[in-house]
Amino acid sequence: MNCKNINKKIIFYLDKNLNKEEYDAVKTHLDGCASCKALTGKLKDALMQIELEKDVRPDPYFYTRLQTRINSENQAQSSVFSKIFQPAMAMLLILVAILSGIVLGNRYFTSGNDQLQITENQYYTEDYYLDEYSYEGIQYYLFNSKNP
Amino acid sequence: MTDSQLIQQIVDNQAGAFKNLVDAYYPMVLKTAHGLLHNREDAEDICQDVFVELYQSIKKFRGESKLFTWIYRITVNKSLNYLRKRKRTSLTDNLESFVFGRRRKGLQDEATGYFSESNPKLENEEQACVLHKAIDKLPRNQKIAFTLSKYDDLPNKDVAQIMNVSLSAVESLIHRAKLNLQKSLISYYKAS
Repeated sequence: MNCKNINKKIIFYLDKNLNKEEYDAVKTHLDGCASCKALTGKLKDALMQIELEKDVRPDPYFYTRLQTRINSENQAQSSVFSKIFQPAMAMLLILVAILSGIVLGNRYFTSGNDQLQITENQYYTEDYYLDEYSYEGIQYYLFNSKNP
Repeated sequence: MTDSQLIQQIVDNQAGAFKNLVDAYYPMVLKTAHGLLHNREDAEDICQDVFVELYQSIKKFRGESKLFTWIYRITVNKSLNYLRKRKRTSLTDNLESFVFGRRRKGLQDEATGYFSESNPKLENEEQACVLHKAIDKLPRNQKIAFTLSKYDDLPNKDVAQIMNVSLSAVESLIHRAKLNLQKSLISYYKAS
């Protein structure tokens, strides 16, 4: 068996997954080949890491932390309804407030129906300001004044 | 207590039933997650995710497979999903460094000079790092089969149940995983 063939069987040799004939042949080669023997040693050390990593010590506080997480997730789920309901109600109230403002504003600030006919073709329309006082134009006095 | 009795107790909200489940399966889940992720903290996070999912969906368990098979499947899926997410994050990090010219320290950069000191602890860490890289390079199914067989010491029959494949498929996967692992490790050692 040459080194190239041995290199394909090292991991199975280490795992003892070869039949007796192959196992003995690999062993014989390794006894006589320093480079293959060194490579086998390195591969064995690398695979030993698996054995070391298998020994993972459980965390004694794992269940406590798990319980805390489950409780917080349960609380988060139960407040989903309030998280949807409250913003929806808030939006609805804002919408109602805006619509009410528009309706009230339209009723208070009337359209140009209150027109005072000055002449046949001229009309005087009263303007209203926010302070609820109407603007009394000079022409209002001139056209409506009882004083000659 | 059998698995079905334990599940029934959990469904009935009996005190301590879920804790019994956690106590029984936590070491197994931790070992599997650690074998796939090679990181203790990540493995602990996956354990939490697994048991939270168990808690939420134990009532839906129909008993078509064994409980431990179901738990192993959840553990493997969550671990692999985590690895996929981590890979995506590292891809965006690499893209960022490429675009902005920032050079992120890779494992080899950290290893330069660090592993050159003769220190048995560092040599162990280097070997572990090399082994992890070689295992991570394995195709998905080979990696799962190898990890379940080597880290969890599960018989091939149980691995076949967990992976939902035939026994011969598992044997073939483990065989190919060993060949690929051997190839990676030998090429690394010959190069170094």
